[in-house]
Amino acid sequence: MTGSPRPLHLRRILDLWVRLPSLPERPEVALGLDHLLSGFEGSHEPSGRRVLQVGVRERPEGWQVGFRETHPGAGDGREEDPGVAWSASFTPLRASELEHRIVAEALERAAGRLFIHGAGIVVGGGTWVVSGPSGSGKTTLAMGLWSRGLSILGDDVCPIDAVSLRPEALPRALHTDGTYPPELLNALPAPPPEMPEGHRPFPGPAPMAPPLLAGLIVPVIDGPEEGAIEPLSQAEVVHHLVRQLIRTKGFDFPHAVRTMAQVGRTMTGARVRASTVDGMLSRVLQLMGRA
Amino acid sequence: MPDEPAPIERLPAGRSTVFELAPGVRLEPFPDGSALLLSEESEESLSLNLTGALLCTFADGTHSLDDAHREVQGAFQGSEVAIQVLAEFLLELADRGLLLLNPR
Repeated sequence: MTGSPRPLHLRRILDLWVRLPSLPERPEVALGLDHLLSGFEGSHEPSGRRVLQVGVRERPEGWQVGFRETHPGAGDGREEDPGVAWSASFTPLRASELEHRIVAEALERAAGRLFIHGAGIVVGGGTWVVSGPSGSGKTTLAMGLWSRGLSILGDDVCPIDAVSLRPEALPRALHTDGTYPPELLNALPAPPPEMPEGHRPFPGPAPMAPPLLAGLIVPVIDGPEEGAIEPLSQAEVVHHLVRQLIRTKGFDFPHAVRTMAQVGRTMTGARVRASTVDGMLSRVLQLMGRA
Repeated sequence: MPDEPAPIERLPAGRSTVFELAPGVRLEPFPDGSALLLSEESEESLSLNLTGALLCTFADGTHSLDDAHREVQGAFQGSEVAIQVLAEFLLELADRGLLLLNPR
C-alpha cells in the first residue's frame, strides 16, 4: 500500500466521538472503514466528553466487534463502562460490516433523538424526508436531488432532535449496490480505490444546521399510475413517520408519537408514483417547488 | 343465506349508541382537520380523514351516533353524510379496540 492517507482515529457520529480500530494486520479494512465514514467530522483527538471505543478481535467462530464507552475528562468520577460488549461474530472481516455495526451502535447510544428510516433533503427553508421501505427508491431519489443541486443529510436515516425537533445529518457513504442509473452514479463523487465495493462517498458537505421538517415524500417506483401525486393529510404524514421510526433500545412509543405529532403539524406530504427515475425526479421537484 | 344486518343494527343500541375512546387511546388532531387515533398500549396508530376526525371528537361517552351524525352533517352542509357509513366506521374502530360502544 503506497500513498494512501493514514486513517483518522476518530469520527464524530452525532454526540459521540467514535475511536476506530487501527487493525494493523488489516490496513485495507481500516482504510475502507475510514472512507465509509469520511462524511463524518474526523479528528485525531476527541473534543467531546463521550468516546466510543471500537475493538475488533478474531475468535474461532469469526470476527467480533466490541464497544466500550469512556468519558475522558468528565471530572465526575465516571471513568468508563464496566466492560466491553462484544457483538455476535461475523466473517469475513469487512469494512462495510464494521461501518454498519458502528453506526448502529452510535444510534443506540445517541441521547434525545428519534431516527426516521428515510433520506433527508434540504429544500430552501425546509427539510424534506424521502421515506419508504428498503428498495422503494430513497437512495435513487436522494442521489437525483443532490445531482440537481440540493443538499442531502443522509440517504437512509434522518435523526430528529426530540427537543428542538430539528433534523440532523447522518452523512454515511451511500449504498449503491443495487441497480442505479449510470448518469446518477457518474454525477456522484468518484469512489477512492480503497472504498468498499457497492458504496460511494457521501456527497457532502452536509448542512450544519438543517431547517425543520417541511415535507414527506413516499416514493413508489413502478407504480401503475405514471406521475400520480397523492397528497397525504398531516395525520397520514405522522402515521407514516411513526411507522418508519427505528426502534432503538429504550424506544418510547408515546413519547415518539408526541414528538412526531409536533413535527408533523407544519408538514405537508405526498405519495408519488412513477415508473422511471426521471419521472419520479421531475414530479418530486415539482412538488418541492423546484421544477 | 340471510343478509348481514345493516351497520346501524349491529350497534348495541342502534342510533342511540354512545361511544367513547377506549382506555389508553387518545385523539391527536392536526391543523388540516385530520387526526390520529393512538393506542399507547398496543402501539397502534390510525390516521383519520376529516369526517373520521370530526366524528371522534364526539367520542366522549355522552354523544350518541344520532347526535354525532347531526353535528357532522351540520359541518358538511351541502353534502349528505350517510349515518350507515358513520355506524360502519364506529364498528371498525371498536373491532380494532380503539373505541367502546355502549347503549345509552
